[in-house]
Amino acid sequence: MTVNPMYHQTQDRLQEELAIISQAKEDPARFGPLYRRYHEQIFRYIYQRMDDQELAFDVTSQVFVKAMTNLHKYEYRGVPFSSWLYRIAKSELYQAFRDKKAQRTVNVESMQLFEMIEEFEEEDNSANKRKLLNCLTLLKDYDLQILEMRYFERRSYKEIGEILDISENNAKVKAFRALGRLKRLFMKQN
Amino acid sequence: MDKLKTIVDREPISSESIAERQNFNDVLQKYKAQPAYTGYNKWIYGSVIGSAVVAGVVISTSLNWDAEPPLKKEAVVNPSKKDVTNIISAKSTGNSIQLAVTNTVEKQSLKPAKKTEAVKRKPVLTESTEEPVKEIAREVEQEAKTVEVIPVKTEKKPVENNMPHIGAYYFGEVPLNLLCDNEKISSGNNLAVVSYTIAYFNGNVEVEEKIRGAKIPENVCEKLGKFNVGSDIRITSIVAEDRFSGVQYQLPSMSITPVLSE
Repeated sequence: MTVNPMYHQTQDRLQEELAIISQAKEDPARFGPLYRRYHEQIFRYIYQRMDDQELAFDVTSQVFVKAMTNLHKYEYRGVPFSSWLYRIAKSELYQAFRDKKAQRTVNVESMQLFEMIEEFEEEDNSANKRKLLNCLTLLKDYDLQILEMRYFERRSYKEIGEILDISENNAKVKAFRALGRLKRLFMKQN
Repeated sequence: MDKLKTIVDREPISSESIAERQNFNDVLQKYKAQPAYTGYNKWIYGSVIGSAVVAGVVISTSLNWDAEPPLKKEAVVNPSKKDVTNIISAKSTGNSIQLAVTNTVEKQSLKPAKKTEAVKRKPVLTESTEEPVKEIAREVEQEAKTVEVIPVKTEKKPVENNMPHIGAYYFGEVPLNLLCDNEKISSGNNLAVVSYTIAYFNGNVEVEEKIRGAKIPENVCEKLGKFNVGSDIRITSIVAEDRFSGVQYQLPSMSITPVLSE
């Protein structure tokens, strides 16, 4: 499985990013380069989980306002700045769901469904795809988040771990367990 | 949360159209429109200061509630323990108390009474009264009765009698060397663990293995060290046998996280 290469950064780049963050802490107008670097990633993360494109842009904008407001609390932990932004994005996203502004949505491609059905060693047909979609809606939110990041957004376990604030190994274990639970749900419906 | 909505093959949005919607000035305006950060808000300051005042009043009240106000024309003596012993011995040998007090006062230099000393409950000696002698004697008795407070260790939780544990750890982070260094799953009440099931990640999939005995086998330890450091491990179906009666019991499950060092 190919994974999103955008996330991983060299030490030099992380240090360069840290310098921009320090400047932005002093002067918020210096936050611009971070905004331009991460705007698309954060928008795609939000839009993947909701259906309303305009609202997704609004929430993205709100994420950056929150990030600037709370930048004084940011502490460098050797991981890209985006992992902190993702956590803010998640919080804003779920706030939008609670406020009934948006509905939690799972966006999948047929190919990704096919890959999952293949992993379950089942036949790839429209009935199985429907069944799999139904099973996804029955999963617990935490399991769905991990599967979404791993199988639909093709993120590495390292990135998933950093976004969820768990170790890479733990992310791997949790992803396998979530897939196992999805498989059991799928088999039950046979 | 409402039921999930699923969408298959939604039309993808291009990077160019996302870039077109970037507007840092708008974000900056929204940021500036927010109230400025002033550290902790007034409510927090108010509650902290309020609590401190209340605590201060309570402490000072508890220190002073039984302290007697010092008399204006009084002298305070600071008798040494030796003098107090003399006083008590004089008392026990039948000498008059008045005589003992007079001796003590002669030995000590008289000091004017101070407010702080009154708070510390120094014995107050007034003319022609037996009270200070009684009070000094009472304090000496109390000193003898004082029990030293031993601090309670809180680092490790005590293991309950029938809870399974590995070297006194029964949940949470457990050092890997402890798990793999001949340490067994044990339990109190004369119970010996005879079998258990361990669920862990073997590098490819999550596996469940039924193990006989109480030790964690070497091959499992190797996998725990390679792939499960920082991950949750479940030890379930722990069966223990009573050493005397031979009756078998199922013990509660354990959830541990191997870590590299303590």
